[in-house]
Amino acid sequence: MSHVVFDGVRKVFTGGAVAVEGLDLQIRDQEFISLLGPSGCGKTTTLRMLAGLEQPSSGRIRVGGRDITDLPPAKRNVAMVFQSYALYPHMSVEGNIEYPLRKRGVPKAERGALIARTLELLDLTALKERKPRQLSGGQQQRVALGRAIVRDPEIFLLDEPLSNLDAKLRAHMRAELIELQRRLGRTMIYVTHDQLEAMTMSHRIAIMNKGVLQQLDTPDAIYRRPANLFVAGFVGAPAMNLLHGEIASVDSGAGFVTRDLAIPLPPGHAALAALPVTGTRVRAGIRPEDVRCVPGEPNARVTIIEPTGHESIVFFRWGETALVARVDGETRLTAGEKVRLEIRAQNLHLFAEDEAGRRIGS
Amino acid sequence: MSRRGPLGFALYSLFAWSIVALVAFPLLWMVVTSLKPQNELFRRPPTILPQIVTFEHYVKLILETPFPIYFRNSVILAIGTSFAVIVVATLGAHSLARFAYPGRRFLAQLVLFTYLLPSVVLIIPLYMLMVWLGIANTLFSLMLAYTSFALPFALWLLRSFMASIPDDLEHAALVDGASRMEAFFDVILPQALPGIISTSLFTFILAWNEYLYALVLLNRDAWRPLTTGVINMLTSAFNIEWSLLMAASVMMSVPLIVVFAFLQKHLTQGFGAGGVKG
Repeated sequence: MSHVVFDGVRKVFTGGAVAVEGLDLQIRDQEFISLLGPSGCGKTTTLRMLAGLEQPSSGRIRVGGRDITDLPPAKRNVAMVFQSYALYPHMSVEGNIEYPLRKRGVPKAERGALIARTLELLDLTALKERKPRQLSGGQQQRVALGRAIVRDPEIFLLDEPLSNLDAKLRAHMRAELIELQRRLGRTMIYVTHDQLEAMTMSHRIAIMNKGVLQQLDTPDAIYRRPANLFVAGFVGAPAMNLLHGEIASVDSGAGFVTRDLAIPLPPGHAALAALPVTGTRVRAGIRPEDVRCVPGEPNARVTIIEPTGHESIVFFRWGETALVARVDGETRLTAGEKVRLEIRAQNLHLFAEDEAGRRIGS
Repeated sequence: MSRRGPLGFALYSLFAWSIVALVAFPLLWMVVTSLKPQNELFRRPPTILPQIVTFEHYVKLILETPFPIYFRNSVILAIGTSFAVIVVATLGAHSLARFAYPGRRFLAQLVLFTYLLPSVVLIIPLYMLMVWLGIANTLFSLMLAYTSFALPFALWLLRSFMASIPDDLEHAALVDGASRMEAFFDVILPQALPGIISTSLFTFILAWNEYLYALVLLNRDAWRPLTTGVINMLTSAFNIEWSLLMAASVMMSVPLIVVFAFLQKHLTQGFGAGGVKG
C-alpha cells in the first residue's frame, strides 16, 4: 500500500521565502495525481519533499502509514524522473538503468533480467550501449523513465518530464505514460504547469498557488466547479471570462448585473442556495464556450478573431465589457462586425469578491 | 581564414611562427648546449648545432652528483602536493558549490583573498609556523607550504567546475539509493574529472618549478628539490657549470613534457568546460 499523506507540511527556505504552506494532501494508492500550478507555486518543492531532497520545516509526510519525514532519499521507496532527465553522462543507457539496482543491493545475477525487461518495455534494447549525449530528447526521456521503473518503486515522482519534448512527441509520451501507469499499477505524482497534461492524464489534480493547495479534485470537477477565482482563471484555455458586478434582481428573479450585462440565474442554479443579499459585489465567471453567437438584434462587436481551424477564439466588446468566446470554425465573422451574444446562464460561476475569491454555492 | 586571402595568410603565419621561434629558441639552445662538449661551449663564432654530440654531461650528472636525489625529492614533492591539493580541493569545492551554510560566501571570498597575498609575505610566518610545529627543514613542511598556496586557486577552479555540474545529477543519485558520499564518487567526481586533471597539473607544475620557498624553508642538502639543489650544486660566485646546468634543465623539463603530452587533451577540455553551464 502506498497511500501518501502530507500532514500540515510547511516549507520555508533559508531567507524566509515560504514555498509550501500548511499542505494537507492525501494521495490514494495507485492513483495518478498531478500537481498543477504556475511557476513558483510550490509544486516541485512538494515533490522534492516526498523524495527526501528537501526537508519540511514542519509537518509530517507518511507513506502507507509509515512516517518517512526524516528518512534520507535512499531509504524511501520512491523513484523520480527529473525535468532535465539527470542521466549520468559517463554511463551508458544500460549503466544508467543499472545504477539504482546496484545502489539498492540487487544481486548482480538478478540485475541482468530486470534491466533487459526494462529496456524491452521502453524499446531501448538497441540503444543500450549508447551514452546519453548520443540519444535524442525522447530517447533520453525514456531512459530516465527506465531508471525509475527498473526497481519497481512504490511511488513514481515525475517533475515536468515532458516539458523538454516537442509538441508531437509530448502527445505521444502522454499516452505512453498513462498506459505505463495502468500497467505498473503504481502511484504516480506528476508535477506540471501544463494544464492539458494534468487534465488528460490524471485521476485527480491538486492545484497550487503561492504554496497553498487551492483545490484537489477530478479534472472534470476542477473544470466545471472551480473552488475559487484562482482555479477558475488558471484552468481552461482561453481563460474564463471574469467579470466584476453585483447580485441584483433580474426579470423578477435573482441575477448577476454589470454596467453592460444582466444575467438572470435560472431555477436550480448551483449558486442560488448560498446567494448573498442583493447589492453584494461578486465576480462572475463565464467559460468561453458558454458565450454564443445567436441570431437577433446585435449587442456586441467583434474585436479580434484567432482562427485555430476547427474553431475560432473570438474577442468581443459588449458595451465596455471585453469577452472571449469559443466559436465554431464554420461561423464566419469579421472584425468590427456587430453580433448578438447570449450567455448560457446555467453554467455561470459566481465567486466572492475578496482575496480568497471562494466559489458561491456548490 | 579564406576571407583573408593568400597574402594575409602568409603574414599571419609569419607572425605566428616568429612568436613560436621566440619562445622555442631558448629551449633549443638549452638542449644543444647540453649536448656540446666542454671545449665547444664558448667557441667564437658559436656553433648552432653541436659538431660532436656527447652525453657526458648527462652521465656525469646522474653518476657523480646528487642530482638523482634532488630529482627524487622533486617527484615526491610534486606528487604529494598534487595529491593533497586534489583531495582537499575537490571536497572543499563541492562543499562551497553545493551546501548551504552560513558564511559560505564569506569563506569563498576569504579563500580568494589569501590567494591575492604575494607569496613573499607569507614566507616568514610560514617558516615560524613550521619551526613551532617542529617540522621545519623537512620535505613535508615544503609540501604543506605548497599546498597552502596552491589550494586557493585549486578551490576556485574546481568550485566553478562543481557549480556547472547540474544539481539534478546528484539528486538523481540520492533518489536512486546512493548515500551522499556515494553520489559524490559515482556521479560528481567523474563529471569533474577534466577540472581535477587540470587542477592537478597546475599544482604539479607549481610544486615542480617553485624556487623561493624551497630556498628559504629547506637548507638540508639531502631534502633539496631540483630547483634549489641544482642551482646550489652548479653555480657559485666564481663559476657556473653551463653544460651540466643545461643538462639538468633538460632533465627537469622532461617530466613536465611527459605529463603535458598525456594530459593535454583533458587540460584544454577542462579549461573550456569550466566556463560552460551544462
